[in-house]
Amino acid sequence: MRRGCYDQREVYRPQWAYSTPKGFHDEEWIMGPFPLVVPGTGALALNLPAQLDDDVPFYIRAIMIDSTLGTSEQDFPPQPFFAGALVRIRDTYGNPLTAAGVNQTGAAVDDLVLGLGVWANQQNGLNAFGFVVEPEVECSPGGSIIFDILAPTTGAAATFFDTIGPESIEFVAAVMGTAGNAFTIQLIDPGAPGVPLSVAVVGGVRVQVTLATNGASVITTTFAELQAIINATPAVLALMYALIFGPTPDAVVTALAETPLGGGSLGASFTYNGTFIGVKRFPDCL
Amino acid sequence: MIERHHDYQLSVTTVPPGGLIDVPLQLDTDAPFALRLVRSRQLGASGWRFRTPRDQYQSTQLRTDLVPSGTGGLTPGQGSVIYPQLVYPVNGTIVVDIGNNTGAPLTNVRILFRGSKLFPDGALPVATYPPKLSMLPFTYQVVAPNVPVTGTSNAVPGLNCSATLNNIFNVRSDADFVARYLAADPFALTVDGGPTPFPQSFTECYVRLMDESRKPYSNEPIHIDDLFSQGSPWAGQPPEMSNNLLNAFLPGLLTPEIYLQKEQALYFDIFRDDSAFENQFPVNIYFRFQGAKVFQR
Repeated sequence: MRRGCYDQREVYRPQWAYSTPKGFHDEEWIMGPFPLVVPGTGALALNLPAQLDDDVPFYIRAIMIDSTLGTSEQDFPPQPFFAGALVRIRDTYGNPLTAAGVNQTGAAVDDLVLGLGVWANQQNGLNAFGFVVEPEVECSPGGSIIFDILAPTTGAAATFFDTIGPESIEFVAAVMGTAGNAFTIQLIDPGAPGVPLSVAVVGGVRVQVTLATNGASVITTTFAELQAIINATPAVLALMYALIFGPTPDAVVTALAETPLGGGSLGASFTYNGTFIGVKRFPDCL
Repeated sequence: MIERHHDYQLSVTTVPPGGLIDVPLQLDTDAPFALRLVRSRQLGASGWRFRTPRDQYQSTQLRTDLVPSGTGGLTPGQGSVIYPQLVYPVNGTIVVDIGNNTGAPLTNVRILFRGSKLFPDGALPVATYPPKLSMLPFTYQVVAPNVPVTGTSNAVPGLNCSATLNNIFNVRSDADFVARYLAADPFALTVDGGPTPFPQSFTECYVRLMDESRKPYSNEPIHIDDLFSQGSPWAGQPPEMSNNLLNAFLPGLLTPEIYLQKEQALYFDIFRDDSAFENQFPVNIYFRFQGAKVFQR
């Protein structure tokens, strides 16, 4: 194919070979892993630099952002997977490589895009190739590639698992962090016949579910029905929602004494590792 | 000649034990279709085969597009490449046989036939690269918030889908953009002290991509993981629930690429029916259009 020409009948897109200009030679160079430290609280980390060498221009041809491994360097202890984060990358000339409108709440996201599938994937482990950057990005000697990262908190919402046989229901606090540890869930056996299923919020933090009974005062509420009433009641959803697991969602639940949710925690700082794969372009010796 | 990316999806609501023969997939009347890839969903290892434009079977037996998992089993792959391409005429028909060796009916089987429509020069208002240009790799993002679990739309055969219509991807005014591959993932940002999002996932979600004049790039909405693919495919799903190659990122490759001039747009409709699965909630889907900005020099 002639240099600079593109024949639509031959290829599905232009594929200009990365030829080295006369008078220069390219050497493959792998930069990294370099650290990208994020707060881990869900706050935005701005202007995280990846500093390039100042000897010659560097042409980026692949990138990988992974929270544990860049090339073959291993981090101990293991850091969280790249479970998704919003990322903005600017080249050494300040050009952003992303554009975004608004997020799910309608708020502007300042050109931060979900990095999964762009510069990272969820699978942890060694990766020899990275995500292709095409066309290559020319970087000035000594320049910095700037990352802005908005990563989810590493903290957790408070939860409680209620398991009966093969079926479980998980109550998840509606607020991230330690506040949910004050929420409680109670499943009440009314001990009377023909009582309908109902739910109430008491004291702003206690969810009390009165289970349904049949004519013999036997509890009839199933896991699916319990989940449904929890998730369909706005006052309860302000405190918690419910998930069910197992093969028998129509199994009947049992009474549960008032039980606090637990395990809610705040996030902590952690480090993503990034790697660039590309070439340094050296002038030939005279 | 102008090539335009196109997907034909054959949807069969029920495939009885023993399979079906001579299932027709009617092609459009606007242009010939060059077939280059076939990929199945909800079919497992039961297999498929189809007839060429010369009305001959392309294979003597049923084929499968599954690949070895490396542990002695089979796993979904990227699809079976059809090379050299097969060019079907205008208003042609791809006749398909679908296998079923499971002993039970298979529901909502979908077979994707991917390739390009072939238009004569001048038939479509298409743009291409300027004579002198420079390029910058670039990613555009469009977020579709709170896509409902289910609804009443029958746009996807066999499903009752929610319909989130006319989502717009707009190219900015500083440069043209060539879209080369696509990704879409469920995601919700969590912040200390902020709301706990519902689990973000989708299974039966389909997308219809259209150009600025609303001409679709497919005959019906295409499964989102075939058109866009996920950066985080179902790492935790058991193989029998997954139609995607586990733990691998396979971007939705647009072949040929779609060239968009400044301020041009693409539209896409989202259809979802996850009512058959537990713990499904409205989901935020982050769509990424990836490729390169093209600056005229």
